[in-house]
Amino acid sequence: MDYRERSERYLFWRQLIISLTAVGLAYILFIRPIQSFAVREFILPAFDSFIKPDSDILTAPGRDEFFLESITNSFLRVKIDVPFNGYFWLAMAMIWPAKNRHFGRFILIYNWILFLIIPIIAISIINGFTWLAPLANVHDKVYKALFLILGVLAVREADELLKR
Amino acid sequence: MINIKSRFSPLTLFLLKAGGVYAAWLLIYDFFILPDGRIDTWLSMTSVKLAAAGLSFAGWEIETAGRFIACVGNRGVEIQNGCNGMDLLGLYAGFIIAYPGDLKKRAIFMAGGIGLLFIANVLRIAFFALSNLYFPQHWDPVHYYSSYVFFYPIVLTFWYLWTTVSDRNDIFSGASLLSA
Repeated sequence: MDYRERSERYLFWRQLIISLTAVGLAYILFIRPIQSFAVREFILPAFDSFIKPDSDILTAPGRDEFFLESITNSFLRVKIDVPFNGYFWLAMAMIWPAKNRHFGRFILIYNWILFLIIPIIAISIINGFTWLAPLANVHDKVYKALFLILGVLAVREADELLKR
Repeated sequence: MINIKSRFSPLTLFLLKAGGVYAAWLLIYDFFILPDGRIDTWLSMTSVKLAAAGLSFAGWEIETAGRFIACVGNRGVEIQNGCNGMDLLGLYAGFIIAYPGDLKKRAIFMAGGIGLLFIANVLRIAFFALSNLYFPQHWDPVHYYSSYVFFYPIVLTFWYLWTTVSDRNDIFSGASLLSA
């Protein structure tokens, strides 16, 4: 390992730590409070308005998310998270210093698509398609896991390229 | 017959496999393990016992009852099924299973990572008990961000190390999510 390679790799890892710290702070101090406010004031009341008075379904507020629950326990509780949540930012904090445009673009596009997927799933469940509940929960966790995986692979690829 | 391997890039295949393993684990967990409760109960109660033993050893006065833990005279913490880090084990294992590599090394990584996540969960529970003693007004952020502090650094580091140890660079070289 020569000096140039070592210093470039050192700079990359330093950038990664700075990115994780900066994005983490921005998320805790600004992004999450804004998302919590939006969920509490706009998103949750909007979804509440779709629920009929005699419905088995009720909403329960979280922090930057809310839950769809069955009064009679007829389906698993469903977590409804907003797009561009913490997992987006954590993945992007790893992808930005790695400068991996493919992964960054994929995650960004998927988050825009979530603006369609999440309301469709939530409104479908509210309208009685409760068999979607376990699928919604699985989707919620799997896409977040895939974001993290892409983040790690971006870091690994960048480090590998700098080694060469 | 469609040849999936030639249709998708190694990266896409890996992501599909990792997503599939994790989805299968979540469905098994939601429909069988969580309702049955035995594994979760064992994990919660063992973690509480170990956290209490560690804190007592370090000099704090701790009381426990089943899945409750508290510093004496303070508000307790209940480790419920589903909140004990069990789903994180599936998240971790999904990557290790899906990413190609030597079977023996994979088993070592799997066992080592799961063991470390278990220890991290014990530390997290101990931290919860102490947070109720020293800064009870901050319970919500402490609870919410605990996964990011105790679990994700281990999961992400071990994933990274596994990609290094397995040395299969064809997964990410080219970095295209579309077909090869």
